[in-house]
Amino acid sequence: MTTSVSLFPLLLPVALTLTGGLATLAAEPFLAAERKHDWLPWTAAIAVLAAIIALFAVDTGHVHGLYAMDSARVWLCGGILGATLIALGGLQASLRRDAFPGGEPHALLLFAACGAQLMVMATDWLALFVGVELASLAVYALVGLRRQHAESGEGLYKYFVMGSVFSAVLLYGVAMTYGATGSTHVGAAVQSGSLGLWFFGQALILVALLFKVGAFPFHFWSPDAYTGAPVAITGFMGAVIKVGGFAAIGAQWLALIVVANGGGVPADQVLFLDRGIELTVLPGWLSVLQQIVLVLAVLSLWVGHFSGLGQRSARRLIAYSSVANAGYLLLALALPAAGSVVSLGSLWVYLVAYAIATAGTLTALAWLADHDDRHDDLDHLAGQCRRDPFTGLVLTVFLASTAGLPITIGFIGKFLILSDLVAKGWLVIAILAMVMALIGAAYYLGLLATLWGSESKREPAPARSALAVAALAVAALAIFALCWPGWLVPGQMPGNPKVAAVSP
Amino acid sequence: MLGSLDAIIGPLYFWAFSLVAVCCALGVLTTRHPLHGAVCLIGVLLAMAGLYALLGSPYVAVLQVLVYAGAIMVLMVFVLMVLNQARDDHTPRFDLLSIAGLLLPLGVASVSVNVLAGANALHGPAQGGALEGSVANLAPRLFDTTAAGPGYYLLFELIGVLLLVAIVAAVLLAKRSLAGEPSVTKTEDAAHGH
Repeated sequence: MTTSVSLFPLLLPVALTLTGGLATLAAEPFLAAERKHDWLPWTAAIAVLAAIIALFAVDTGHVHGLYAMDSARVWLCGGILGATLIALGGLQASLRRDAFPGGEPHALLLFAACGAQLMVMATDWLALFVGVELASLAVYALVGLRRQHAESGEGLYKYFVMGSVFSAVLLYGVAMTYGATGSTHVGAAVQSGSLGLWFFGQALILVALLFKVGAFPFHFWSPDAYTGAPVAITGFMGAVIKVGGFAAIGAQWLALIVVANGGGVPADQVLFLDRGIELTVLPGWLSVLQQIVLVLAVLSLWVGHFSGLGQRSARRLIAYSSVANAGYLLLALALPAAGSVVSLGSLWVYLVAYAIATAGTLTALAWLADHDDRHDDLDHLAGQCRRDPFTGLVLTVFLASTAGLPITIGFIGKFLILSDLVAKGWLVIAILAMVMALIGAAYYLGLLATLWGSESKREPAPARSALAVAALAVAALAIFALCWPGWLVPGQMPGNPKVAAVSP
Repeated sequence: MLGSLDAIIGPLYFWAFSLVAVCCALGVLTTRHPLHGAVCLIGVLLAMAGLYALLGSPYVAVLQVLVYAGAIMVLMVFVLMVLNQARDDHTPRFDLLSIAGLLLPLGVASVSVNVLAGANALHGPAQGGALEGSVANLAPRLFDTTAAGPGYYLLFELIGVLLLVAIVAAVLLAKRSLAGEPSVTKTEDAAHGH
């Protein structure tokens, strides 16, 4: 019998992030306005680094069935913390350049990272909700940082109102699920006769999570919210919230399979994300749900890629790219025929690849954009990479990874998802996704061509941040290093998912 | 004897509270004066509190009155009065978009009613005066820190962080001027000039 205190090392990465946020917040009033952006980002960065180190030490297990840790969750938390570190650098560079009067954004960034980690670790719907709200509230404030700008207010208002509505939808779904299972545990067995109620609850939860990750048709908020936010925050939102949201969707998907098999996850056990589950039967409701998800995935790809083609603002372009990437990530949910093992390894690999590349791209663009991010449109960004070769080089790496060029982690992610799709027998969708990936690659490379193209007439804005330079350099190396065989999540490489999902 | 009386009075209260809640909710949607809307919303929240009490959760019912119908709505009414929002006779009550928008909640509501009616009741009616949601039942469960407990104390602590983040976010967005940021007051002056 373990005491509850001995369970807490599992929460160490979150606790360290939280402590960093609180320390940053507490130190903020004692620093002179001009020193805030010198010290606070570093305080926050040290906490994030400590949390990353703690990730190597955490065990597999769960705390009270509320939050769990396993190799896939360690990997995803690592992605979140890495993206947070990059975003801290971007935030330092842009807030310092604008002489932003206040250091709270650095603390809020850590609180949002905490929330996203809790979303990843959640194995209980209420625990998930707390994580979602913690991440969302911090991000709402970060979106509205430039409050004197009309577009910032517009983005904040749309995001906040829609976010609140979908939080309510999530809770409504949790209430329905509780009514049908008598428990808020993810994957709890359904009481006899309550399958309809349960399915409705799960559908509402899925809708709310699809909103959080900005998949079609719940993507309408993202171009405005992304454009209203400072460029550095845009990358953070796109990366971190999406990791949290998709981890929750993945956990829900495994839970749906457990219930489809006619079972449930007992209250003292949890679903581990790094294990596969054998799909013994494919009931009609799951088959329908899967088809809906695949249609949404293809439409996300379509809308993301084709709406992105005509955009001039780099932030809007990345917003549509994020919709398209939600499409690829949803494709990883496709189910094989009954009798084979479902594992979501390709989803986790793609998710972290996407998170690092997006946070890196936007931080590099924040570096190149002028005061107040006024010049994030392609006309003003043209040729900026020539003036700033280091930023240009890392930007090239991140965009190459997003486009899915070989020897980057982005390629591995796309390859795993598409080869999984083919292996599961969804050949037509795989070909369609392949074509979309080519269109996507064309527009990322087009962006690069503009950035490296003609000589720029605009002097680059004087951005300064040692943190950003270090984080960008490490992240760019990680894009290559993570491709090294065996460096991916343990047990996540295709071919060895033959472990039961439910484990004590 | 008491049981049979319960069987009559319980549903009576249920229908009364439900009627008040639905009528007040319709009032929120249709009234032209924001203050009337706020008062209707208080009615909805109070009726909900009554429903919670009927379900055997006096604690949630009291919190509903104190926090939602009390604190939050007082704040809302206060804001409405500060902004001095008058009756709005210009905006049409319903336009094409709002009627189209009505279809979605109606659809969700009809599906909800359908699945709820079809589902098996999880618990029977409360037995012999046992209040499942009483403070005496709730507190030990909420603060049970043993390893075998539900661990809700952990969520309780995390909600503390959540409220802190909400305060920081609100201060950051609403502070009249952050140190050395004159542009906000300028835009406000411009807005008053219109």
